[in-house]
Amino acid sequence: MTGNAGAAKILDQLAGADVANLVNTFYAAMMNVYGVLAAGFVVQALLRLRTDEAGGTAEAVLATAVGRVRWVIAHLACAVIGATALLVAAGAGMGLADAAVGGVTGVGPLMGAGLAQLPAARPWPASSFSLSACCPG
Amino acid sequence: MTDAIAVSGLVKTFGTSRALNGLNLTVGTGEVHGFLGPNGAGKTTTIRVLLGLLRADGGQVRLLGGDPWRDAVNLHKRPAYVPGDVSLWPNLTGGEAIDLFGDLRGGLDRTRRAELVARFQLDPTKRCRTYSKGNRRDDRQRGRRQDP
Repeated sequence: MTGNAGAAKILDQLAGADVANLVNTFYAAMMNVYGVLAAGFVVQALLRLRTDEAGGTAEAVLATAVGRVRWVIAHLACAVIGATALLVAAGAGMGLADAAVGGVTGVGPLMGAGLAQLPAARPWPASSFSLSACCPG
Repeated sequence: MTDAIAVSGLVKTFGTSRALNGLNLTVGTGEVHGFLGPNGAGKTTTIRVLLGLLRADGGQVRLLGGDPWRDAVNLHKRPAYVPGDVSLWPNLTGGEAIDLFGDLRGGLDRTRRAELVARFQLDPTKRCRTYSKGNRRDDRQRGRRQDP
């Protein structure tokens, strides 16, 4: 790999920075992929708002003593907590695998690296949320 | 005593079509009111405005003395609503759906729940997707039923 400048460059680009250590570059690149997956999960979770509205269960819930804001916040909370759990699990899994093969990166830093993807996972869900809010039909 | 439902001059439009054009409706407390009309007359729209699910474009709407749009959460502890087309969560059991609706309304009387489940001969361990339409409606009624 050290002799292959092209592959190293691709990994550096995926990792988003010039990471000195090749193993860490690989982890950082993988974390980006998990970030994309987490964003996908959040979009799916937020589309539940739309499904509930179209399917009639939203009406059923809102006809009880539940406010509209509480209803929306509950959906947002599920999406955010779910994405956080996914990224922590990805980081922990990667850390344990790293330890299992005698790596030195550790579970903690990799869990941190997973959580660092959370802000990056926001724009797409935010736009899907805005869309279902503004164009409910 | 205020009327249970007091609607005057209610207007609701969807785009260019006017669903309600100055509806007046008064239902006194303790009255049984049948609300009939042909398809597309605006019955469902009226009910949804009364439940605060739709915002009225014009006119006055009072439900149990309150504004159904702004006081929805408080008002909804009192009336029960069973739609003609019942949607439940297909992966919840009937019992779970009853408890969910009960809790969202602020708690159920356990003995009353058991009594009603027995009277309607409902199997509360079945998943909602396996119930018939009538079954599902009963389920919603039990979840919403207030003590008399």
